[in-house]
Amino acid sequence: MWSEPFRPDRLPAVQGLSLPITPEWAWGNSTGRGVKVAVVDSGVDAAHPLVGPISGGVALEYDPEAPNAVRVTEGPHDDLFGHGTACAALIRGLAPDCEIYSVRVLGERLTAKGLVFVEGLRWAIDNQMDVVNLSLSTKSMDYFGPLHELADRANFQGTILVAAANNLPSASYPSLYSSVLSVAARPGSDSQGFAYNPEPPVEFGAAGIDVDVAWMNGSIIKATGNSFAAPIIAGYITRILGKHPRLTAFQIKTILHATADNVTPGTTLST
Amino acid sequence: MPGGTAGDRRADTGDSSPAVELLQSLTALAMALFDAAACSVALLDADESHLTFVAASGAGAGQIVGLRLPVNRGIAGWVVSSGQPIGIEDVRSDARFELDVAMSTGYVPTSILAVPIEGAGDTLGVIQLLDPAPSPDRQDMALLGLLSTHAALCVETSADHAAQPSGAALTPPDPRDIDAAVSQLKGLRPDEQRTAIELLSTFVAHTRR
Repeated sequence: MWSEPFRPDRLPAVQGLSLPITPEWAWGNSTGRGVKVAVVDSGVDAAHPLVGPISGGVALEYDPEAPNAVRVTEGPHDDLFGHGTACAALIRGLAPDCEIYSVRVLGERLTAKGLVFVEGLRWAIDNQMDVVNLSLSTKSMDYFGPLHELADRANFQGTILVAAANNLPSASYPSLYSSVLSVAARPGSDSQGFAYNPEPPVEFGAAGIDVDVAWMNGSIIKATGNSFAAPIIAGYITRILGKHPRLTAFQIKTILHATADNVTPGTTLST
Repeated sequence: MPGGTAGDRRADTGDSSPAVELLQSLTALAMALFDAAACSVALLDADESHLTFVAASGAGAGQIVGLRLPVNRGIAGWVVSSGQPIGIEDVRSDARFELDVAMSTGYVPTSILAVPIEGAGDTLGVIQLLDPAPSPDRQDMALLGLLSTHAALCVETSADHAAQPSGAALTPPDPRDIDAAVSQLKGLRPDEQRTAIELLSTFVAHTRR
């Protein structure tokens, strides 16, 4: 559904500003060094050869006795499903020297999973992550407000949130907020680059169909989903921030717009 | 799964409520529509720690209905936890847990397509296809998403759903979700629209029986 606008026969050519922004300027030679990236997911397997060392992380679980009803345990943890490892490896593949932090919010049971998700995102923002990959979402209106508040906070402090769109065009948070970068899988065989969709809320499309991804027990599988497209965009942003630290979220969007495959410079600032 | 077993089997698998019958017909329809080897629907238990397969068609169907899996493992667990769909092409290279499940049903697939069943509030379960016909542009994921909406409506309109004793099953769907479903129909290709309308007609006819 959200991938539809990115189909080659539907994706329009978009005219951009005539700015001196090129892929080479934006992320050329950048390895993402010095950039902190949080993967809010099922955990990350640091032993997977495609992931490499993890700089830190926390596991969050529902606990009515804990502050905010969520227990936060710092330190190493497993990946329960394999998906967080997949996202981390995709980011590492683009930005080999970035610092990856695992924020495990998908746990043993689903009780209060929205609350755990909110607190995991809060941890990433409080700990000054530069980029946060969110390949998960919630439909629950109970968390619309808390997630929106956090997304705005992240936006203002310079933490870039990258969220996978849900499969169906129904409300799903936080991927529909303008303060995050919403991503869908782009049809076609291009494994590199990304496209811009001029019809939001899903603004960017990247490889996410039949892509090779890291999985559990050191394996690699071929998988499909918007959740694999989001870390591609997160990886590009990490490289951009490695070369141009302290850019704001709207500057990042401008750079991604200017460097998207289907955008060509056209409009000059003087006209 | 503790102890290394793939899953537990519930003793009370004889549920033949209209909702389950409808989900059963949905799996048969999906199997035919996607030319898949099998299709199953698993719903979240009341304690939110397990998924129970309540309906299935095709290979291994007789073995998988009634199977309970922990939500903290496997492809189905991730889909229901994250609310995100996923397609995997080479299941045999996936974690051993998936194979444990597959072996217990007597059928080991090559590919799996799994989409969350999203209720008005949050995820209710997961619908899975085993070995669907190839779909290079993955339109099958979008179409299965439409069927999952159908499954969600079925679950939420049923007071018989055993996994929702809290009364959530009696809660009417949010009108905005109904509007969203209609909007989705309008965005489909004509052949997809016809299939979706046939599905809706089947659902209405069934519930009026």
